[in-house]
Amino acid sequence: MSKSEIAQIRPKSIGTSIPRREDPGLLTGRARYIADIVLPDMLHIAILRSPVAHGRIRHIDVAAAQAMPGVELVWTGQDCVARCPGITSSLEQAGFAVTVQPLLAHDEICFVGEGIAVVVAHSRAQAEDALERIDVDIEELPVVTDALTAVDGADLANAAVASNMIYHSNRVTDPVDEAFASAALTVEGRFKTPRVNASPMETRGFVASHDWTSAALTCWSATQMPSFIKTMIAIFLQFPEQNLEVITPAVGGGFGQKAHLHPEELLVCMLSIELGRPVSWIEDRQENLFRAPQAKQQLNEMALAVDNDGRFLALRDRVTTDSGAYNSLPWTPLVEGHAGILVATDPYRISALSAESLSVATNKCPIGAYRGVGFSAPTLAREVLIDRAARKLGLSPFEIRRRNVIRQEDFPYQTRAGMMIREGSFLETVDRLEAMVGYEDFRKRQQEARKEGRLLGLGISIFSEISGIGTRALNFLDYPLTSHDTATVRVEPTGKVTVTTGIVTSGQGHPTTLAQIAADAFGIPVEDVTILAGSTHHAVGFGTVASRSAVFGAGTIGRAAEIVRGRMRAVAARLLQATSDEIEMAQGLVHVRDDPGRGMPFAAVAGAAYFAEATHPEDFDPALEATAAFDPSDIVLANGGHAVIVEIDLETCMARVEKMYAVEDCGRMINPMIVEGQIRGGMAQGVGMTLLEELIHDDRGQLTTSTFQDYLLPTSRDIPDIEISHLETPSSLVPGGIKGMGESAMISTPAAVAGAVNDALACFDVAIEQFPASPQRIFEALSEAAVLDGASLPN
Amino acid sequence: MKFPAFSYACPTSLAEAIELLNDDEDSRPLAGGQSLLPMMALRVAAPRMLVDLGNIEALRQSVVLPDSMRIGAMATHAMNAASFDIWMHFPLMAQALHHVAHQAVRNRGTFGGSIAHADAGAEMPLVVSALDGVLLLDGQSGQRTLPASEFFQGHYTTAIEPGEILTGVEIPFSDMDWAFEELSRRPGDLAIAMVAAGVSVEDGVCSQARLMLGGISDHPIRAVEAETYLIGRELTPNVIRAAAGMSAAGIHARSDTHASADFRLSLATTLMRRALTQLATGAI
Repeated sequence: MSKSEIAQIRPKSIGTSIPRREDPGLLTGRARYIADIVLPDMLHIAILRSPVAHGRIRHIDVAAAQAMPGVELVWTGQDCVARCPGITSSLEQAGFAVTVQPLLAHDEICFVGEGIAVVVAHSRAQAEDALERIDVDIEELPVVTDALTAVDGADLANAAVASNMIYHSNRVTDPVDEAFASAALTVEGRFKTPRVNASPMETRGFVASHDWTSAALTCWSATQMPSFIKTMIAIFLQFPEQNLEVITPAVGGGFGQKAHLHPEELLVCMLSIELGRPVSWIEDRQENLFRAPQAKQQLNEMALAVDNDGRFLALRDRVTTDSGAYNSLPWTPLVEGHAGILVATDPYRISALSAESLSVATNKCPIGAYRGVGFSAPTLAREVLIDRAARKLGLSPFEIRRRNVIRQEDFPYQTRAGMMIREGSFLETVDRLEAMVGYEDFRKRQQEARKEGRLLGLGISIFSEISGIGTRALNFLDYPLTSHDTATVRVEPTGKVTVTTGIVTSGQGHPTTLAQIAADAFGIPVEDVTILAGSTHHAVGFGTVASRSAVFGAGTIGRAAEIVRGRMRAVAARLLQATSDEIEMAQGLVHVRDDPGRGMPFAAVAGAAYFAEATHPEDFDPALEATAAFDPSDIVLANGGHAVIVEIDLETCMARVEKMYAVEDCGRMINPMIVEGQIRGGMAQGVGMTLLEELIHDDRGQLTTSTFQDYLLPTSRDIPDIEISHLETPSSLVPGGIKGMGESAMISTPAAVAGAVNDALACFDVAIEQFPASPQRIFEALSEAAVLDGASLPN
Repeated sequence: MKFPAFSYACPTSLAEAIELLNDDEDSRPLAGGQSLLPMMALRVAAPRMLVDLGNIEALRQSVVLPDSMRIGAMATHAMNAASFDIWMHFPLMAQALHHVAHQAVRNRGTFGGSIAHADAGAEMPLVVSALDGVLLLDGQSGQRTLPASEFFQGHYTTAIEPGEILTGVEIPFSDMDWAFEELSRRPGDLAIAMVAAGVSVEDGVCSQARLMLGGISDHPIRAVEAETYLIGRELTPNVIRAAAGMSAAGIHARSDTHASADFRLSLATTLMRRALTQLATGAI
């Protein structure tokens, strides 16, 4: 049977907003996070992090640190490299530069915050005290901070990356010159999205405990990818994988940042093996800002050719990703700009695409995955350009999109990047958003406000989201990786169901939604299902990333349940004197189709399978337990749109979001409340990226926004009411018609906020293309246009 | 982000606290800890000794006097925000307190702590400057007082001598009307720019004016020229515009991650005009 087989699930609990079963533990502080893992004799580490962005270690002296109270061990890069050369990361693509990130730098240092030495002590405070006694002599090297000039520059950010070019791709090279030459209108811009940090509430952390008596290594990791981490530990440390367990405790948010193999994780394992004692690393907030994978820094030089009727003729995009000094594992910088260009035209009919991506090394922290990954930036550029075209053509922003979205009659539609779009509700999204916003009224209100000196702006974004990312989607995005999950489903003798899954949760509500899926697979109450997760001793999972868990949860649990159901049907058929094909399961009963009277409780059939051999058919396999894998046969595409209204104070140049709207079509929703929670959280992050958040490096590569006083996350007071509406186009590739949706808001909200800022300023012919649209940037743009001189609005 | 090792004392009398501070020159008084403790956690500050002022009851007390009010240094922002006396006598301060951080910080952060820390973006230094507060200091060589204009010397810099403790601020009652305006990146953040404006209007013209700018420079700045200009004039839009323009003129503005000097000066003008417009129209 194929791994992409679609099992039958009849939605009953699916589609209902049942309360999250994990909330009592989370809300009363009883859930155990990584920092709550306390083991006998456990030691703590602190890492000395480089104060310079680029240099070479001349000399390092740890003797004084070693002598400090409570210190058990001090290691430098030299101690590490002998045991593990570092994290090698590359992708099998022509011309892709390999980087090896040492666990601690032993020679070249490539960014501020890179580890140089580690102290293991009885407490974190003692370890930090000892760090201050380490004496390092670093020869400073030229620093590369600007990805644009780095390509032609003489200085290298990392000696291993020639010309600072990690990867250069011309993936789609349709001829577009003619389209641009003949276009009635060309809109173009240079859109800069900021380098940001996902800033989960809980920082990263890892505990390892090596037991020499059993040779077992047990790890606790605040991770989104425990199975991956386990295999990477086995490979990089040459540790027997069968003796390894990675446990995922409660995780306080991941957003992609915790979907990598971090050098610290291998380091902690090595230290525990070396010392024979448990070792804990709990990252502090400043380490997180300096060293946790950063994201989103792209320059999109994009142009859109449009005809007189507002129809899109061609799109050209050249994206440069400021990739940092090493390739993160497994994503590499491809997760940003390169992934982005491949979705640059969706969800519009654009018949020609010319897309080039450059991933450029700089002396900054490595770029990694963050919710919406590389899709956010080109979506922002495209949607702002579409608004600009609409203004120039005198069309409403909804109308121009209506004229260009992929419609029902276009399915299946293949994008120029090669993605097959089978289904979606793009046109309905535009119509729904327009009705929610009340477009005509908004324009009147905008006019009125202008008379009072207030600048209102409306931004819209229409998106499609590659969700439930499996092997096909990864390959489309140029990752030569394979990605499937497994689940094990067991029906207990009393008819209760235990599911073991490789899906771990970092706040998304999987213990609840996966139970809803399993309940509907067997037609039993959701209370009768238990979800076991969080240990690599359980099932295998690629990770909770890329909006994939709903899809893979439904796929794996559905397929495994179908195997068990078949066995139960065989028993029931015998008991009910029917054929297996006639047996159905619903409402806690197993009965003959269309005849619920000829049935028996689900538990009775389970009990018979376990305890009454006489009920078994001939050659019956009584294992009411099955494991199955799932990997969808193609890309599972969700879609939707966002609209944002901002108000800009012309004099203080402050932009505030007044109202936000979301239309989401993620197929059949498992739990609408959880879907809406995902939307609200993602939209808040989208506001952060476009109005507030920015990791700023100076020309020495020093991070100047090194605490939450300067790195500005949106607070509840920065986020207005959010109105949400749902469309439901079931997926044909996933049981229950389910699609993923966790990243959608972060893919598309930044575009809507950016569009709104630009709409507010369009009356002055002022455009903002660099984000976040801070008051300083708006001030500069208005000053340049000489708008502020009069300090009042033209009526 | 763990504290370096330090000694800790929690005296119950001011005299004891002063003695402790003078015993060790590397000691620091601890008020609400909302600035000092994060700095210690970041290891930007590493005093050998912390003298916690939290158990000195007298420092928490505020007293209404015939012509002034003495506000205790250890009164928290939350206590002051809930104080009827402050609301009645110093509406400027009541307004400004809405901009001070968030409730959790206001519950621990203190009036005196904020003043002694003297962050250029903090509201309380501007408020006591605008209201001509007199800073009350106590040390080994006895008590002394300083006007706000001599107290605030720069970003994180005041006239407090080592071993001295700020015990409170005595603020004279003001017969002016006051307005406060601030711009920060997010509600509750330190100000990028803020202004306090006070005027008295008699027979339709301005008879008294006090205009102060905060966040623009490294300490609160008084706009004397603009104040003088307002005296004897009616607060018309044109007069207000002119005064606002004057108030920011000639200031050496600071520049940081969030705002350039030019932008700060532009904000100063805007916020001053808005504050004066509030006062002129009564739209407070």
